[in-house]
Amino acid sequence: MATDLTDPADPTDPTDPTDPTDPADPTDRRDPADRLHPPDAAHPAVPAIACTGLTKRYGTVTAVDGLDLAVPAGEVFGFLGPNGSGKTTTLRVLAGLAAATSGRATILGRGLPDPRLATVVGAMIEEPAFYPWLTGRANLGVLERTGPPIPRERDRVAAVLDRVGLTEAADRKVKGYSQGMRQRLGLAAALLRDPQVLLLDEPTNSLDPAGIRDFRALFRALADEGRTVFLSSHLLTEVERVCDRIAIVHRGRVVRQGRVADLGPDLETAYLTLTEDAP
Amino acid sequence: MRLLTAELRKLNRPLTWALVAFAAGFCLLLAVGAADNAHADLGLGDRGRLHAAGVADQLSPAAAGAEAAGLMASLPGAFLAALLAGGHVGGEWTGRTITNLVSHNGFRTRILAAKLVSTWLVLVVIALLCWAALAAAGPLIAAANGLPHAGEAVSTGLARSASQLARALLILGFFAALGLAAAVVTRSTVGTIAGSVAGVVALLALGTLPGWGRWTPATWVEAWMGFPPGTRSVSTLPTNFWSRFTGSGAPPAALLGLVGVVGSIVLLAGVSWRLFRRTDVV
Repeated sequence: MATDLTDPADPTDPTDPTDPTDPADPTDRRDPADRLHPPDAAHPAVPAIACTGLTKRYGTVTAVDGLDLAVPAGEVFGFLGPNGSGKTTTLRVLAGLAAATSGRATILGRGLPDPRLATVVGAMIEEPAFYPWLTGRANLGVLERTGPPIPRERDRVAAVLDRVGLTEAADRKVKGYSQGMRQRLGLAAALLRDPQVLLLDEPTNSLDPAGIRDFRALFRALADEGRTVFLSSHLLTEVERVCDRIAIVHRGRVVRQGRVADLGPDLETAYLTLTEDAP
Repeated sequence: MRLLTAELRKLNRPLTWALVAFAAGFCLLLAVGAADNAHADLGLGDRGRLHAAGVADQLSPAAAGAEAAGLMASLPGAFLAALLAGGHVGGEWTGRTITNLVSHNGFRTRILAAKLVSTWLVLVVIALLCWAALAAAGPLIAAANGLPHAGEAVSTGLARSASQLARALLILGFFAALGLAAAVVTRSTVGTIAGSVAGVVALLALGTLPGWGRWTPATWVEAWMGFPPGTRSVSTLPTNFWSRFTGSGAPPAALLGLVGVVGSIVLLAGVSWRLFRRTDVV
């Protein structure tokens, strides 16, 4: 049974899927069918991500088992759990890569699956993969054209490469990239469409200490810009340092969620207690 | 259109250029073989000389397009399509880049359409490059083998090339749709290649069935392209890397071939769409 530590005053009720669609942006060159705008001040009650009874089964294996989750907008939210607890599967469902078996999930108030969410959700699931025969810049160029036009910014590819610190290596072929560079390129790809919600699966894997520090700073900066960063991890220190709130998931269920500070002074003990299997 | 541009950019890759080189080289090798056979026939009297003149006509720059189209609309083209679809479509799963595609464009139907059209476009370009290679080398090959000068008017040769290329567009679409379906079902590079090749072999085998043979895609391809039925030799330039395997006797009318091939493309694309729309991207 999940213990919900969410602040009662917090407007993150997952059962209120208010449509946050804004009036059309005159600078937006996308097909109207592709447009989806993030919630604004007029819709403060819409959580960035909400799941109710979300379940995903693969044959007889239940990867996600009635997961309930509410992620407020504009925060860094840690999705913490041991290996095989259902973190990546949940992210796959949220990213539109997999369909839920049952339950409901919404992003910015839109029920999943919704193909238009690709314009406001950026995702990096597991190890990022790219076309090895293309350069980093060309890979992002291809991805930029894969979706609808990105409004407001002329050279979005250069901007995101700069943001993840990959400008110098941008014109090298990806087959020569280190794993850390691929991770940076993966984050650049997730940021490409100027997303309101970022879904990141173990984003600091393979990064050196400087890279981890850069990523942490970037996650905080993105949240300060009003974006929601939803990151899965099994690294307690990472989550503790960067996240506003966390949810601890075990065996496909959220066993605790709330502000990091509310989980007590020793997050490690709390985490181990909650995720310890009964004998 | 943006998505199609992205797909075409991805196709600027070593695999594509290797396939182009292979296709052009294969065309030239067959032309050399055909010219050599025709040269040998020159000693067989009037019939041999007539045959040699026919080969020289086929090797003329204007008419060579018909040969390139015939090759691409038969087994060589089917194998090239399998390899191309394996890398371009199935490779998205093997390389796990399919997750990028779907997370940047949630409209899966558009992704499939772009994959199909881009694969088809590359096959069309390969056919045109084969024509260019034959057009450049054909007269030299004919001259080197002492074949009589081509007597066919340029306009006649061009008309034949245009007609065969136009017909081949549909067959290349069929091969691309077969590759797409194999990719969506198998979700891997090797699976796509194996599935496509197995599909083509199965279609040719079905075409040999007595009675039912004429109601199968292999025979429809034969009918639409106008390949001579049951040809047993490739001693002239081979426009029949197809019907010699079906052995189905007289092919159905071209219109039935057209309807059958279009129906097959729609069916394959429909199956791909239905599967891809619902399948988890792993």
